[in-house]
Amino acid sequence: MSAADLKRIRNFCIIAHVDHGKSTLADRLIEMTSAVSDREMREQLLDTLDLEREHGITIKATAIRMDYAADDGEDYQFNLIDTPGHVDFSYEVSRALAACEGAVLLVDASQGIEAQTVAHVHKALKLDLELVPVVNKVDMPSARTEAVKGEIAEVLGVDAGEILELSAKTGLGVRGVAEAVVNRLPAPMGDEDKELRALVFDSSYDKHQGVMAYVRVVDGWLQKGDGIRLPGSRQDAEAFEVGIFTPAFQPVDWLTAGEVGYVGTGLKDIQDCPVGDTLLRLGDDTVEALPGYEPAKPMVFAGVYPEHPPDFAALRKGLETLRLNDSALTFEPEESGALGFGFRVGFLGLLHMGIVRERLEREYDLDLVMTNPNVEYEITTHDGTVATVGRPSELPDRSNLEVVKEPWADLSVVAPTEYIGSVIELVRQIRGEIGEIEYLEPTRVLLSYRVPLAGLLIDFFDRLKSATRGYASMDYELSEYRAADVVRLDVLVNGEPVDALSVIADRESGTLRVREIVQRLRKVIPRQLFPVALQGAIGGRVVARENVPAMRKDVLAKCYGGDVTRKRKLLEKQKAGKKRMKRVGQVEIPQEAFSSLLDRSG
Amino acid sequence: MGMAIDHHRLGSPVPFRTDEPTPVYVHVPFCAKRCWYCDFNVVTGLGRLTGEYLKALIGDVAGFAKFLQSPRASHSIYIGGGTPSIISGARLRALLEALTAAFPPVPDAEITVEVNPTDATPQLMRALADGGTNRVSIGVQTFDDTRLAELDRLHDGDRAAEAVHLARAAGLASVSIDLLYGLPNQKPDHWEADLVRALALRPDHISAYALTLYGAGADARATTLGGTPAGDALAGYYDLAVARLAAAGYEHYEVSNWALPGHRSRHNLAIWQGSEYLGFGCGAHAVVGRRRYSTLRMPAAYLEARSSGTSVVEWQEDLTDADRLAELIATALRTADGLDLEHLRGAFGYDLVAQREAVCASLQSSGYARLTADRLTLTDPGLFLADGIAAELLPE
Repeated sequence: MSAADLKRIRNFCIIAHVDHGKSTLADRLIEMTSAVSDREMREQLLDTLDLEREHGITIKATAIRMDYAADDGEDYQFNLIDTPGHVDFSYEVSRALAACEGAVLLVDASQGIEAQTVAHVHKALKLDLELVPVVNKVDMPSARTEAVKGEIAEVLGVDAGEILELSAKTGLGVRGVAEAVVNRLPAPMGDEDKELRALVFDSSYDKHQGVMAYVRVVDGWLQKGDGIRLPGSRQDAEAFEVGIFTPAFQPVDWLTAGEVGYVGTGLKDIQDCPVGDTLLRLGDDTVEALPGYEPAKPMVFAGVYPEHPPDFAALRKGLETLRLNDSALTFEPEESGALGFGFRVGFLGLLHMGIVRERLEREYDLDLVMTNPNVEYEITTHDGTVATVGRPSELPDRSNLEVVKEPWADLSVVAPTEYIGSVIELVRQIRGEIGEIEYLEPTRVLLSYRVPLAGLLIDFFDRLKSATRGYASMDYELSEYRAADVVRLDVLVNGEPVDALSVIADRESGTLRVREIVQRLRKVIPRQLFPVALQGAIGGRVVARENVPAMRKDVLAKCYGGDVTRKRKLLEKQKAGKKRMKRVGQVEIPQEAFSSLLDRSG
Repeated sequence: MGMAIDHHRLGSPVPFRTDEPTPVYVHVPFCAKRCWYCDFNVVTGLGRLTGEYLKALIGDVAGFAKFLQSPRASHSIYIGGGTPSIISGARLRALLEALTAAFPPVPDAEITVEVNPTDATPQLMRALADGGTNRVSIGVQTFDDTRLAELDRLHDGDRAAEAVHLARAAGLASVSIDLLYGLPNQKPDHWEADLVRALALRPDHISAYALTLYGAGADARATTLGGTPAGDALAGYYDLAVARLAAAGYEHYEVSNWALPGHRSRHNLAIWQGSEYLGFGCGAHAVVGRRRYSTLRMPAAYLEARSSGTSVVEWQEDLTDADRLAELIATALRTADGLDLEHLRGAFGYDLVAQREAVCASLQSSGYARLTADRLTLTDPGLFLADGIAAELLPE
């Protein structure tokens, strides 16, 4: 490919908040360029996982190549790299951005700029990407097109006149966006005569072809059969197939500098082809790798146990298979007195956790019991040992703790000015530090805080939404570890400590928190034959008590000849119901008790 | 002697012992009016079929006895419904004669007929006594006329009391009444008044049932009427019955049954203790050997099967040992005699106390059960939890 050819390539992604129309714009561009036949065209074509389509969100980045006939008479190759919208997956956005020269910034004309959008814009600007700002849904009666243009101008420091108007739904302005991609976004740099360097921006696993590396070729070229190496993972492999995204995998003869495509590596473990690594030609030992990016790091940890102990092996297999396509998922075996054998699983966030759970239950037919999630702590004991603790029962006694550090995050919130007070109150409740206020427009602000990640974990977003009548949006990013004063809260059921019910909390709110936990447990533990005493303890001292009184009636009044079968069936049902519960002594604890903090209704 | 037809589908040879006296149940499904809370196999407006039904029933009983070849004695006979008393005294007497001919009662056999207070007349009671009946079960439900009307009953409280007197006058040896508690709009005071009035009549036997709502229709009706007490509140009604009846000398021998000494229902006790039992008529249940079956529920279908000589069986199942054990635990636990631990070991190889040690200990310490060397029995509070306790006592 010549330099002239390079000039007709545009690698870009679309930055947008959930529901601001990213997938619809992608669909319109695909239709316009006929990259996909009508038969193949589905709504939200890029969202390949069933779950993504159901949740209406994008989880994994994917890509599509389109050929666009521009107004200047030239044909352009568009490589659109799709990006996830949810904060749990925002690290995937960084990957996608690094493979592009520019991005379309899409903002809903009614909603305005949201916190995540701001965060993504900052990431894009840091990478020197060019942006095409677009206001979408301008046809909606609630559109505030001019005000929203003002917000974008404020955040980007551009002239409002440069901002395009679009209705991806009706198709109005779609061509204008495509033209701006041609005219305003730069063509890729790169030299196909140099040695091969390709950035792995994502990957997936195919059971026949092994790890498929999604690459942006920066320099050089690559064809089928070439020997390749990955300096990050120190793996050698063979590119036994190279191709482009249509968005289905379509083999091509070669990929050259500036292009986006995939490489079938035959590698069996996704960890051997880490995202952010550089794909180099085997034998080119002096070529320097591209600056990669930090691997995705799980932030939330929870115990995951099979409801039926014999399913442990199936759970392991399910987790291993999911990890093939999800390098952010970590797990290691653990054992609980109450729940038996299971895993401590690390997730990017609660959405990720929910999705993994749903996939394990659906695709692997598992019934799972999950514990309350927590963040991971860095501890130093008196003898100087440093360790990370992702499981409450592993937190040593205070007497043996030198230092505990907990993760903090940079939190940004966009909200109407009238809710500033409510947001500050919420942030204060989670021990956050009040930060800056930036006015996006006279009535909407961007608030920046630094908060303990643990405070965001469970229900912060829901509380934020309800405190701002749904108007606020948020984004967060891990920033640092800070010293923390935490305690383990234990729960005793009829005097017996139940390890899987323990959680870690900061000392100051520990008593309140454990009281809340036993109160929630009282609600989810059904009345049974014998009374159940629930106690919450900190460091062996009981600070909260609740009782589940015994049932008084559990018998059918009549049981004559014709009732006996019904009675037996009922007993069998009762017995099956009991099997679903976990037992501690005589007490049956329903599965949801172990994740009681996640029950938003409580 | 003609060919005996296996119209109860028992197979041949008959897979059960013929030397042991058996309980015999006969179902009469007809009612003048359906009570909304009733869950039994009941039909209304079909009074014209009673004559034909009785004929078919008598043929059913006789045919079955013929199929058995050697006669089997009856340990007890129970004619229930529906409303058996809707049938004339003469016809009931004929039915009783056919039953005792087919299944000769042992000398102390209990022979019960259910009687609706509406039908109670000196003539009916006389016919029953003449037919060999020695026990009547009178469906009082409550003496509270407002509640009776809400329950769709066609009699009032005085009529119910009158039925008890008539039964006594006819010389029926054992008189039982049925009471219901936990009715819509029934306050504890109302229930106490019912108990007082019942005790004044001094029946030999009292069944007191917590009203149980089956199905959405019954739920809706109860709600419309003002709702029923549930859970802890209902337990208060039960406690009241337990206290009042014990004070009056009645033995609490099953969850919902009390009797003066010598008046426990031996028919029902045999069933709770796992006995076989025969069943005749439509929608009757029977257990023969390992086979449990029920007969055609609809009178028309039953009559058709009888006239064409085909099987009257509608549903059947063959019980495994595990099923039989579960049923025995569930039903025997309801009785004052409780579980015969040696029998569980001998017949089922189930050492309950060893396998359920912790549960047994908790049941005793919480006052729900008493454990002796050979029996586990439930206390009054334990009986009101009998189903939950049974579930805990099943083998893994």
